[in-house]
Amino acid sequence: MYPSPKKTLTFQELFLSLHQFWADQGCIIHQSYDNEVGAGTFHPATFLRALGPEPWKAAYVQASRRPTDGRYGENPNRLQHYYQYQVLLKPAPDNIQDLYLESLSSFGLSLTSHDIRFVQDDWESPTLGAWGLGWEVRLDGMEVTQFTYFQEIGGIALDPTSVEITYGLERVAMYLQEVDNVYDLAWTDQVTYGDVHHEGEVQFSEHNFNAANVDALKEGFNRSQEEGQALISKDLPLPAYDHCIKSSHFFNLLDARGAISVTERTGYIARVRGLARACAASYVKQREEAGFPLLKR
Amino acid sequence: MSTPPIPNKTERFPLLIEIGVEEIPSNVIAPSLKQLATLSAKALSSAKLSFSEPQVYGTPRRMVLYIPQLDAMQETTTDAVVGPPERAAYDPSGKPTAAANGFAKSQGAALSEIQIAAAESLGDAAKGKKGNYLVVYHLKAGQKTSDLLTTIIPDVLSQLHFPRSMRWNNTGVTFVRPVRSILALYNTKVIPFSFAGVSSGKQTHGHHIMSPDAFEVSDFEQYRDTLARRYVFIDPDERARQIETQIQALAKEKKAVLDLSDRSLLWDAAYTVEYPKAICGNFEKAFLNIPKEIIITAMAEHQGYLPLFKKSGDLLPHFLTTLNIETKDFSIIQKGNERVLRARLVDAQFYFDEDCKKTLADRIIPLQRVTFQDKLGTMYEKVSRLTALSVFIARNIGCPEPDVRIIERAAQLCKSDLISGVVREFTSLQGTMGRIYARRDGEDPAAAFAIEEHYLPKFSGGPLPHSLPGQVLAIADKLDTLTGCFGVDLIPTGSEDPYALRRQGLGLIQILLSQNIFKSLSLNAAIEAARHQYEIQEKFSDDSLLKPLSRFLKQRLDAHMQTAGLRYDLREAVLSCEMDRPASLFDRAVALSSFSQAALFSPLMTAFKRTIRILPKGFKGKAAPDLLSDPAEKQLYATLQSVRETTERLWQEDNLTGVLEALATLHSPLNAFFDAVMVMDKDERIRQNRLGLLFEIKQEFEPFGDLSRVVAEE
Repeated sequence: MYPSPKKTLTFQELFLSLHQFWADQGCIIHQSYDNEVGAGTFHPATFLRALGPEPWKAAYVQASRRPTDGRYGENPNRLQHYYQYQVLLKPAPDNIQDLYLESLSSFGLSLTSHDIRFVQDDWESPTLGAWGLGWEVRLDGMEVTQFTYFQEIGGIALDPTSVEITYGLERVAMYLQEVDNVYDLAWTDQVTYGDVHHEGEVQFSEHNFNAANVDALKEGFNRSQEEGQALISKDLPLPAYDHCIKSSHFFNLLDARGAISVTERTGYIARVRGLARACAASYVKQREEAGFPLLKR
Repeated sequence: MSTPPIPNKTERFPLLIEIGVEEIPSNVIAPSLKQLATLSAKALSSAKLSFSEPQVYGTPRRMVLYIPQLDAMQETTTDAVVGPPERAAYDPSGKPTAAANGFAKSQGAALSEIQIAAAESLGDAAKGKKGNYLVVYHLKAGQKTSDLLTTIIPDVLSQLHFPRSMRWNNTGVTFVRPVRSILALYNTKVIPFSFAGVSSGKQTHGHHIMSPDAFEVSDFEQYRDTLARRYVFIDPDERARQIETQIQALAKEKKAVLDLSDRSLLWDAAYTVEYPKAICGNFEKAFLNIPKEIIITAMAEHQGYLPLFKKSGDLLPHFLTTLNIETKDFSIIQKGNERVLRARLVDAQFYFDEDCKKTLADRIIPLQRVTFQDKLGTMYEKVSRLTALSVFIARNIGCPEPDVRIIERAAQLCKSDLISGVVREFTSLQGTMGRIYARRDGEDPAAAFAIEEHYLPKFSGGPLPHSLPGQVLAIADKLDTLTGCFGVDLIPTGSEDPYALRRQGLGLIQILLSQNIFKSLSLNAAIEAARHQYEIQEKFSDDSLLKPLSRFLKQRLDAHMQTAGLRYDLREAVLSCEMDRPASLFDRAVALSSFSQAALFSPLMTAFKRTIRILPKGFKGKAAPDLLSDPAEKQLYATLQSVRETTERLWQEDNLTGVLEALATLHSPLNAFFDAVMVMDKDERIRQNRLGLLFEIKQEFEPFGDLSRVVAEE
C-alpha cells in the first residue's frame, strides 16, 4: 500500500475550518459586510457590537480594501483587495490566548513544531477613534494574526472589553501551502487565487492610482459625510454608519490618487472620526433605550 | 525603677511572588522588574519589616520577586502612657491617691502594674516634664508578616506603572497585559489575596506551549529548577548568556564573524523568549549584490535577525534568529523564517534596482513634491537654502575653495535619497543610501560621505560627523531647521518637541565644539544667514527669532556642559555672557572649573564678591593714578596694571587657566585695600576714584561671566 499523501489545506478549506472552530466556541458565523471596508474592524459586527454591555461573539471573513497597496498584480505579497478572518469576543474570555492557539491546531498546525510568538503591537485607528493593546502573532517569523484587546471604540471606553482576533488569511494559507506568490495559492484543487483575483488587482490598481475621478471622489466624500450626519440627527445610526464607512473608503481612494496633501489629511481623518463617534454614541443610546436586549440571553 | 519589656527578635523566611502575565512587551520587562523590586522594598520598609536584598527575574510571561529573608513579625513595640506625678499619686502614708487609682482604672491596669519612671527616661511621652511620674507600659504586639503581605503585595502590584496599560476584565484593574496567574508564597505557605480577579496560589506553569501543565511550588530553588526543566529560564541574564553562547557557536560553524557591538538585539531576543534557541538560516547568494546596509536593515528591522560576516567585513548569506521552542526538527521553522526574509529581500532588491535607474541629481527637482514642513515649504526649497548656507559657513571658517565645492555639491544632493524606494521602505537608511547612490553616480567620495554624515548625531550622545564637509553640512542642516521652526513659532514646549529641535540644537552645539576650526564661526551671523535664506524664499522675514533661538541654544550648551561634568554655579556664571561662539564659553567654563580646584579660588571669589557688592548698580568709572594716596590702593593699582599686561598676552595665547592664575594675584592687594582704605570716602572725587579702581578690576573678570553666582566656601 502507498502511504496517503500529506493533504494541505486549500484556501477555502482554511476559512471553512476556522468557521467550524469558532462556531464551536459559540460564535455566530457572520458574513462579509457589503460595503468597501479597510479591515474587518469596520464591519458593524465589530465596530458597533463591541460597544455597550451586551455580550457578543462573532466570526466572519471580511473582504478588505487598501487602495494604496495595489501593485498591478505584480507583487507576490501585496494586494489592494484581500481577506481577513475576523473574530470578536465580548467579554474577552480568560483563556483567549489558549483558544487562539487551539484554532491554529484546528487547521492542522502542530504547535510544538513551530515557533509561535506574541510580539507587542499597540493598535490604533485614528479614523475610527479606536485603540487597543495586544500583539501581532508570528508563526516562524511571519506575521499571521493581529490580536487586540479593544480599549476604546468611537471614542467610547469599552466595558466590558472585547478581544479582536484578525487572521491574515492569505498569509496563513501561503504558509500552509508553502507558496511564495499569493496568486499561486490553491483556492480549491482546480482554481487558484490568481484565477479569482489577479485581473481585479490589475484593474483596480489602475483605478486606484490613475483612473478614479478625483472630483467625484471628493464629492462622494463630502456627500457621505453630510448624509451620515443628517441620518444621525434622524436617529438612524446604522445607515449613518454605512456613510461613515463609505467616506472612509473615498478618503483611501483619494489618498491613493495622491490627491490629499499632508495638511488636508488630518482634516479628512478628523471628519471620518467625527462621524464614527456620532454613530457609536447614537448606537449605544438606542441599545440602552431598548434595554440592552442581548443582556437577557 | 521601671523596665520596659524587650520585644522578641523575629525569625526570617523567604518570600516568592510570580505574576503570570500574557506576553509583556520586551522593552517593558526590565524597567517593570526594577519597579517591582523598589516598590516592594519601600512597602516592606514602611511596614517596619527588615529583609534581605530583593531579587527580581522575569520573562515575557512572568514577573518574579524573591526575597530570601524577610522578618516573620513586625517588632513588638511598647507604648508608655504617663500618668500623674509621683508626689500626687501617693499620700504621705504611701497610700495611692484618687489620682493614682483613676489613672490605673483609665488604663485598664491593676495598681501593681503601674510603675514609676523619671520623666527624662520617657522621652516624648513626658515631654517638658520633670521628676518622677506614674507610667504604664502597653505592649503592642507586631503583626504577622504573613498577614501584612496579603495587602502589601496587591498594593505593590497596583502601583506598578507601565508606558501603556490596559483593562481586560470587569475588575477595572489596569496592567501592561492581562494577569492570568499569581504564585505567592511566604515561608512556603500561600499568601492569600486576589489581584485583578486572580486568586493567589502555590502553582505555576512551565513553557506556554511545551509544558503548559501546572505544578506546585515549594521553595525558590525548586521553583527555578523545575521551571528550567519545563523550558523556562527565569533569569534574563542567563538567557542572554545562553543566546550569546549559541550564536557564537553557530557563527563558528559557518566560519563567520559576529558584530555584537550593538547589544540591543541580543537583549531584545532575551526578553522575548522563555527558552532561547538560536538557529541559523540562509538566503540566496544572489541577494548579496544589494548593498549590505540594506540587507542588514531588512533583517534587523521588524525581524530582529542578526547578520554574519566574513573576516573581510563582507556579508555572508546567512542570518541568526532566536526561537522560543525546542523541537526535534528545526527545518520547518528555519524554512519559514527564510521565506519571510526572502520576501523582504525581494522587495529590497526591487526598490534598489528601480532606484539605480536614476541619479541623485535627477531627484533634486522631484523634491518639490516632498513637504519639509507646512509653513516652511518643500524639501527642494530646503536644499536650495542648505546649499547657500553651507557655502556661507564653509567660506566663513576659511575652507579652501575645493572643499567649498565639495560641500556645495553634497548640500545639493543630500536630500535626494528621501524619494528613493529603499529609503521610503527603510527610513533609517536615509543618508546612508544617499552616500551609496552618490558613489554609484560617480560623485566625489568626500561629498558622498558628507551626505551620510549630515544627519549625525542621530541620537543624543551618538557619534558626530568626522569629515569637514560632513560637519559643515550637518551644522547647516540643523541651523536651517532650527531657524525655520523658530521663525514660524514652532518652539518646543515642555515634553512637546515634534521636530526634535532639542536633539538638533544639542547636536549643533556638539559639532561646533568638536573642532577648533569652528571656534571662529559666529553663531549669530550663521543664524542671520539662515534667516536671510527664508526671507529670500518669502517664508518669513521677522528677525525677532534671534533672541529666543540664541537662548534655546544656550540651554543646549548648558546641557552639554552638564554632561561634561561642569558645576551648576560655574555654568550659570559663564552662561550669563552673550553667546556668539559657544566654544569660547565652554572653554571658559572648563578653565573656571579646573581653577576652582586651586587653593586660591575661594579667597579670590570672596574678595571679588566684596568688590562687586560695594559698587553701586550700573556704576562705571576709571581710576586716576594721581588721586591715589594710600599705599594699599597704590599697590592694588600697580598690581592691576601688571595683571592686565599679563592677561592680555595670555588671552592671545588662549591660556585661560593662566588668565585666572594672573587674576588670582589680585587677591592679597585687594584684601589689603579693603582692610586699609575706606572706599566710601567723604571726598566725592576720592570715592569715585576708588570705585573706579574696583570697577576696572571687575572688568577684568567679566569674560568669565557673572562670578557673583559662583558658590565658594567663605
